[in-house]
Amino acid sequence: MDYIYTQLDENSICVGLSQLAGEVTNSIMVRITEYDIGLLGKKYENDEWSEVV
Amino acid sequence: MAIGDKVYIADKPTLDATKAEVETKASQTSVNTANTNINTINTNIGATNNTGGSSTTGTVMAKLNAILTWFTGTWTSARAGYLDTTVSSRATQAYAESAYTNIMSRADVATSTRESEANALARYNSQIGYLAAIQAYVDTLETTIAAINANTVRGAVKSVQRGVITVPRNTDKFTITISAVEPNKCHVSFTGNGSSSQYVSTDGGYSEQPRVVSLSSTTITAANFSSPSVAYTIGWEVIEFY
Repeated sequence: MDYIYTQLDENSICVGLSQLAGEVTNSIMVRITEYDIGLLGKKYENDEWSEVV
Repeated sequence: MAIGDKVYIADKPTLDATKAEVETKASQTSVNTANTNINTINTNIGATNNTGGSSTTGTVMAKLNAILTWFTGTWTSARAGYLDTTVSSRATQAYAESAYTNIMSRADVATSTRESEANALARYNSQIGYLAAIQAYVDTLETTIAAINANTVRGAVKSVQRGVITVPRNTDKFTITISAVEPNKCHVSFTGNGSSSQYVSTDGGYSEQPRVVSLSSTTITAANFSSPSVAYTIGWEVIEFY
């Protein structure tokens, strides 16, 4: 099982992508299914990613 | 008696014979006694609806009624049905008789091939001793194997975590969240250079190589040498060992 997470900043902007060794429980960590580098800089809101204008 | 009817008068021998015959029959007293006995018998037999019969009280009818009540209550139709039905869990009569015969043939007869109690006990104790010795060997083996495994695993890689982090401009310190590790068994590094393409195109490039400040069980804390004027992205890696 892969533990791929994005790390959000205080504005819910994706500032990190991580392949971890286990599950983490942290409000700034959002688990995703694929290591997608394109998520960096996007905003996470209501379970969806969107470009920051 | 009408006029003209004949009157017969017995002679003495006949009268004597009649008297003797009457005297041999039951007297009034004996008849009364018989009547009393009959009444007693009737009382003991009782009425057909008498109840309360037991081994010491009640009329014959009451005792019969008690027997009827017990019988009809105990002898249910289900139980009666078993008499003519084969019960799968019940051994056949032939099998039961055979088993009984076999058991009885062995119960009280000395068998020449049978071990004596003393010998059997000695053999049992001997086997127990062997088993205890085997258990001791197994315990030793388990301990040895555990030690070998511990030495083999020690120093091997337990987990690898890696990723990228974007560090905002004008940031002195930043953190990266990881899943739980034992910090004193980990190696942390930043991979590659954090560079900004914006700077590459303007003044030949800007690069940053942050340093690890601390590692807790769930967080890497890192710092820049100087607050960068632009954001940059850099790779990181945590390798945990046994």
